[in-house]
This record gives sequence, structure tokens and C-alpha cells, in this order.
Amino acid sequence: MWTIGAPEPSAEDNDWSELYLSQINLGKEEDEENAPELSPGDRDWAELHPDALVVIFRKMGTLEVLSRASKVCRPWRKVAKCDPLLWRRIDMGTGGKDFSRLYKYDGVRKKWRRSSLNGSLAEMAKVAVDWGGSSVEQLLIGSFCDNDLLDYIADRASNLKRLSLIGLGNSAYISHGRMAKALGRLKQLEELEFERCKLPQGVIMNAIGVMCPQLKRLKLQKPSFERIYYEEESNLTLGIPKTMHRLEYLQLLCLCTRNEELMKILAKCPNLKMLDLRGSTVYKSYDSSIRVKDDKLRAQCSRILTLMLSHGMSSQTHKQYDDISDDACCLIHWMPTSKHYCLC
Amino acid sequence: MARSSTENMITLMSSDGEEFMVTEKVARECTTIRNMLEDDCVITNIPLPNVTSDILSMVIEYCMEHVAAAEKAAAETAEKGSSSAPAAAKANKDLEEWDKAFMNVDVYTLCDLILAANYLNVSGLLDLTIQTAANLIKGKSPEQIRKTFHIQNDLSLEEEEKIRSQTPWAFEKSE
Repeated sequence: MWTIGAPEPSAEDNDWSELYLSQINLGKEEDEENAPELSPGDRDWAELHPDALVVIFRKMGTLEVLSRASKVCRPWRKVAKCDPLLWRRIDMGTGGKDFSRLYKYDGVRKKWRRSSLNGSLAEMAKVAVDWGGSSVEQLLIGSFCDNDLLDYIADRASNLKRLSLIGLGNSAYISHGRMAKALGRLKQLEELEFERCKLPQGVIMNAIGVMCPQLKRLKLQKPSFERIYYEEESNLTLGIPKTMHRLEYLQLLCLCTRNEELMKILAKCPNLKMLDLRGSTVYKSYDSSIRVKDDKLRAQCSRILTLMLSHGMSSQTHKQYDDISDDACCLIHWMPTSKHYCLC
Repeated sequence: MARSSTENMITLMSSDGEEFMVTEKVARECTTIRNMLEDDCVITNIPLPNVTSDILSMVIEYCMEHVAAAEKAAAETAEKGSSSAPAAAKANKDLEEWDKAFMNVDVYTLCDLILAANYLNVSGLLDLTIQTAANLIKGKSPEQIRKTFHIQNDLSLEEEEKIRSQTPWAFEKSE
């Protein structure tokens, strides 16, 4: 019953509530005696039933629980520490709600940039990973992330399915080679996101693809303020078709790419369902062999169910089909069966 | 509506022996009671040994309000043939306001309501109370949380020191 109100309730996770249900089955006298902690007369928040406390904690953010609620008293600490379900999704992305709230409360904007604070956030992330262990499935890590933390995560969060790196490499140095090795140890990893990050080079993307053959979702996004240079990024997207054949969702945001590179991705990733190119600039093909009329390419494109576009070179919002630039228009022609278009 | 007079009445008995007569419809808001009624339809008197009379009366108040709101919405839909979106939105907002006012209770009552809502399995009330508790904790330092919920700090100095040495806890303090 306590599952009600949990942020992500799902049937298989409710073992503990079923255990609990057996205790509070109304109308059975022996059960009433077996559950003395349920008596509302107790009126003690320190001793509130752990299952209730877990549901309350879940309504709060990871950082809130980690830095405050878990320090209130022993029973609360025990609940925070011993309930791995609480740590299934750890949100320590600096752009997340958690941080912006805490950031505001601290009221010391300049301090955020200090490495000591980044260090303590990394330490806190380690504690969260320790507490969650193998039940951590989603992890959002902010710009404080470094190679040590990634190694730490790779060694402990054995069931990690989604890793979001946000602002990576903007405030701490990160070796992408070492990062690829760490990612390779996460055998369950299916979703990898680089959000507003300094992106690894094409060779590293290749390596990640080799080490994480099970990847289904990839998101690459540069910091929006950075200038876009085509040359350095062409290598990056070229790494995708070479190794990441199981991709279903691909987001290339605020990047530069070329039509023929997209075509290669489409040809090599047969499961691709969604392509998101918002904020990216797609240069026209120089290769005359790639044409809209090419039936083979059209067939490949028809698998894409969701296509999201905007025109990077224009700041205007294009709502009408007629107003879309040639590049975007070209892609829409290519993917005539896409179910959803998003133009912004 | 005449229906209410013919509707089955159920007596709920609190832990301190007070009896509450409610319509079956209101009682059915509690999933625990609904399950009992479905198992045994002639039952009319239900003892609730885990809920005190003041808490039970609050739970009933909540259920009655929500049943009335649902009935009103259903009646409007039946009358007009289809529900009008603005009216439904207003009704929802009114109910939210009512919930908000209903949650204006001290932390002890809130604790009791959480336990009762779980025991009786009133999903809406459980969700409401849990969210209210979470909102009370959010943004507070551990010391402020202890003060709000009247919790004794049973962590020893050594333990606190250990926690601190593990992590500097940059966000512990709050304004």
C-alpha cells in the first residue's frame, strides 16, 4: 500500500509492500497484534514505519535525502541507507531540480565553481552509489564528475542502465580513454547521455561502441555556447555507424553533421526508431550518389518513427512545412513515414 | 437524490469505541473496507482497532468530500451530456484547495493520518499526506527537521563526526 505516491511505481518492485500487506490485513486478529508499530497512537516521527518514510524520501530529491534527511536520527538514516529502492534513480545532475534548489538555498553562487565543492559532490555521489549498489539503474551526474568517480560507479553500480553525464569536462579534466574503459565495465548500460559536455573524439566513440555493444540510446550534446566546427565533429558521428549497431534512439544535439554521415548511421543501425537533430546543423551532401530519390535510402529512412528537427542556422521557429530550410525539408522527404515530427 | 436514503449504512468503530455511521459509498473509498464488503456483503459493523476516533473522523471527512465531488462531477456530465472542461478544471481546483486546507494539521496528526490512510488504504489521502510530509522536510537542515517533527537526535558525536568525515556535506546548512 505504501507504494502509492512513489514516483515510479512498478509491479515487480513492490515485494516489500506485499510483505507489509500481510501484516496489515484487516480483520485478522493475530495480525493486529503483530503490527504494534502501526498504532497511530505512537505518534513518533522517528519511528514512523520505514515503508512510509521511504515513500516520503522518494518524493524528495537524492541530494535532499543524502545531505539532510539521512542525518536527522538513526532510524531515518537506517531507512535512507538500507532501502536500495530509494537509490534506483540518483539525480546529481547539476542542472537538475535538486541542485538548483540547494544552490539557491546556499546563496553563494561563486562557491559553486570551487573545486572543493565539486569534490564534496563527488564524495556524496559515491555514498549514494554505495547505498544503492546493484539497485542503481539510473544515474545523473553533473560537471563534478571525474575519472575516479566513473571508475567507482563502474565497480559498484553493476545494474546501471542509464548514465547521464551533464556538463562533463567543463570544470574537471576527464580522460575519455579511461572513461570508455569504465563504461565498458557497465554491462547493463543501455542508455548513455552526454548533455552539454565536451564530447569525446570519434576514436573514443568507436571504443565506447565496442565496449558497450548493448547501447540502445545515445545522446550527444555540446554546450550550446560553444562554437560549432564541422571538421572536429565529423569524426564523432562517424564513430556511431561503425560500432553502435543496436541503437534505437539517437540524439545529436547542437552538433554539425553531414547528410552522408546520417545516411551511414541509418544504414548501419537497423533498429533506429528515433532521430533527434534539434539544434544541429546538417550540411548538404557533397556526394552526388546520395540523393533524395534513392529508393534504398528512402526505405531505410522509413523506419524512423520520430524525427525531431530544428534548423541550427536560423533562430526563427519554423512551424510551417514551407518555411523549413532545405536541409530539414530534405530529411522530411527522406522519412515520409515518420509518425511524429517536432520542429522547434 | 432519493438514492442516499435507501443506501446501505455502515458503522465504523474506532479504537476508543466511538461509532461512525457512513454510507457504503463513503466506506468504499477505503480499499481495505471495500475488500471486506466484497468478501462479505452482509457486514454492517466494522471495528477499526488501529484508528482513533479523532483520526477516523478526519478520514471520513476526507472520503465524504471526495465522494461528493465525484458525484457532483458525474451529475454534471449526465446533465449536459458531456463534461465541460472549464467547469471540471474549477471543480478540481476547488478540491485541491480543500485538500490543502485539510492538510493544515500538526505533525502528530499528520503522522497518524499517514498510518490510518495506509491501514485503510485510501490512496488519495495517503498520497496527499505523504506529499505534505515530503514538503515539510524539503529544504530544511537536519536540525530544522528535528525541530519540525519533534525528533530527538540519537546520533552520537562520534557518529556525526564519522558522517562528516565521510563527506563534507556541503549542502547540510540551509538558510
